[in-house]
Amino acid sequence: MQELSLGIVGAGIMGKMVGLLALKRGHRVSYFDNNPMLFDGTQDKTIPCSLVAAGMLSPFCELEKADLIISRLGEESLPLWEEISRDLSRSFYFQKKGGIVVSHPEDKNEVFNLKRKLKQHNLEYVYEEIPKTKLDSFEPDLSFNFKEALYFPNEGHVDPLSFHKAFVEKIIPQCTSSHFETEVLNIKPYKIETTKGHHSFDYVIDCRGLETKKDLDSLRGVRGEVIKVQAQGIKISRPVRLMHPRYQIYVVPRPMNSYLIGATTIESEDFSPVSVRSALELLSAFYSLNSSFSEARILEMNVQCRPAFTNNNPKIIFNKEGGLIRVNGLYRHGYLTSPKLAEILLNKMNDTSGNNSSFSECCFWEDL
Amino acid sequence: MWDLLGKKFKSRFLLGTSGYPSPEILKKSVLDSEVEIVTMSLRRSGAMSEGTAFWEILKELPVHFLPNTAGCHSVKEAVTTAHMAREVFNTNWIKLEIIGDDYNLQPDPFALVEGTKILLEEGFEVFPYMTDDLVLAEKLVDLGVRILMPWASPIGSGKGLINEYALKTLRNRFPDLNLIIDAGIGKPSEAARAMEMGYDGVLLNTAVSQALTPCLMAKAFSETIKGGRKGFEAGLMEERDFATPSTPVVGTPFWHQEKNNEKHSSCEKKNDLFTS
Repeated sequence: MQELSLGIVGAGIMGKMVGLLALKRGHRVSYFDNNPMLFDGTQDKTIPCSLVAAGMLSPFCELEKADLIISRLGEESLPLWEEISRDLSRSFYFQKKGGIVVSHPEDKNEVFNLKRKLKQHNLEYVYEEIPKTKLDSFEPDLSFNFKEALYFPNEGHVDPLSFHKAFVEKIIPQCTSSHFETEVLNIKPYKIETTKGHHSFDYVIDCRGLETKKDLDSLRGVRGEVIKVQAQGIKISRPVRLMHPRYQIYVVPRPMNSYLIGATTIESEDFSPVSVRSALELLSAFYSLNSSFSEARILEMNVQCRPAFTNNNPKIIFNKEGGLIRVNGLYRHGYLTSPKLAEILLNKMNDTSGNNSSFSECCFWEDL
Repeated sequence: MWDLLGKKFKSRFLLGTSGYPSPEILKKSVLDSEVEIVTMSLRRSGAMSEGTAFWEILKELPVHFLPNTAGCHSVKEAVTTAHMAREVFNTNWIKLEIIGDDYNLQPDPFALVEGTKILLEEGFEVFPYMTDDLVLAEKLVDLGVRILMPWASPIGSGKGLINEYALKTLRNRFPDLNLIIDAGIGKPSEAARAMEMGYDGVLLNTAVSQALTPCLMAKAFSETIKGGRKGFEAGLMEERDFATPSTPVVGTPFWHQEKNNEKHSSCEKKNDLFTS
């Protein structure tokens, strides 16, 4: 296998994943990102999309709205996450305990809808219907309000912030160079131009997300709002989705008794702070899981816009003349799908090095 | 052709734009079903703020836009939204939706009358989203609306036509007005039923956007709405409480006639017993 030099622009979840897997394959990696390497809350910058994300690894529950391809990419990403988790420091919070889906009695048809979608794809085997007694042993703090639930054993979740920290500690030192807080002026095949100079690579990999919009005009931003809370004396250890006809809200456990409540999906590239309506929706859903959550403390409210193409599926785009690959449109499935996407990208890059003329815009999903 | 406020439409199917798995599936559903009027909400689509990417996608569609005030709870909010919609979508059509109850999203009839009055005076063509109440309809018509949009049942409930009597009453009372069923339709057959009753159009969203294959469901609705309309135009037969043979008895083989005669005569005998 040829050892290549890669210039990765954008160190969000996709950029991180490409670099991490590329280093394992012996490639040389350099990072460019206009964000600081670590956020300590003092910077006057919006927290990037990949750090606002919930970090759910739920290939099956996402089928409620997503295409089957997302589910396949997600399923194949899970073992890669396990491998990454072994390689990274112990402080990286990765859990594979499964996920729970519940609804209040008056909304039980919403759970039926999810089951209907899973049946459409012959995936009835991916979940168990668990009665109150089992829910009692799994998630005792949920069983007070819910008599039954769906349990998806092969799902997991990560904490994006702890992944970012572990990445900075373990992966960045292995890179040839890293250029954080550096504005990238221009991306061309083989070349990256920043305010500080020019850099050449065998491949430039554009993972900038919504910032690529000026180069990929079919990309759009979809607003999402999340709230982070901390609760004492009550515990949920798996991601919980509360099905409701108007909003599908999930609660994802995080380290230190904290939880991320997410996320709205609003068709707008609006970065303004969380609206009162969304905050009410998110917090009421959270409170309705167990009224003891009323004493939880609100730590943060965040907003970001996820990059999406019109079919809400990701794309890997190879430049016809070679030297430039763009990967984008991960929408609300960044953590779910990025490991497998990175693997596909690197495999195809390897296939095509020296023979770059054959690819333009491809999805490469045929193998899945 | 359907004449709606001076515009001609081939399709009597109006489609909502929210809750689809992706904008691409929404686009395909509109195109496959040959829908010519789509409705969209302004408050949460972000047209009022910076991002208009979703609106740019919709603008490519060969359709007429009917902006709505979904999510508004007061006259003031709805009127402000209507003003913004007029600017953004460059149309004086507005589907006026003022929610009175948060759980079943039942429209507030009192606010609806008040909001309609203001918007009509400002030159809007108001499409009032309403319950099936006759008196409310009369008040709105008195104000000068040219369209009524009664619900079949609550938004997104998929319960179908829960009060056919009330819907028939509206149709009979306002024979010349455009009446469009808005909300509550769950199945293509229910849309056909509304059209057979003489309704001029059907507006729906959830039944399509939440289907396993939304594009196919949009097509199914498109076909049944056409079928229902044709049925209405062709003139439905009246229901009867007794069976009438579609084949005349005259000309059937004599042994059949004999059997029939036997049955009739035995019936007559029984009746004689009762009357005597």
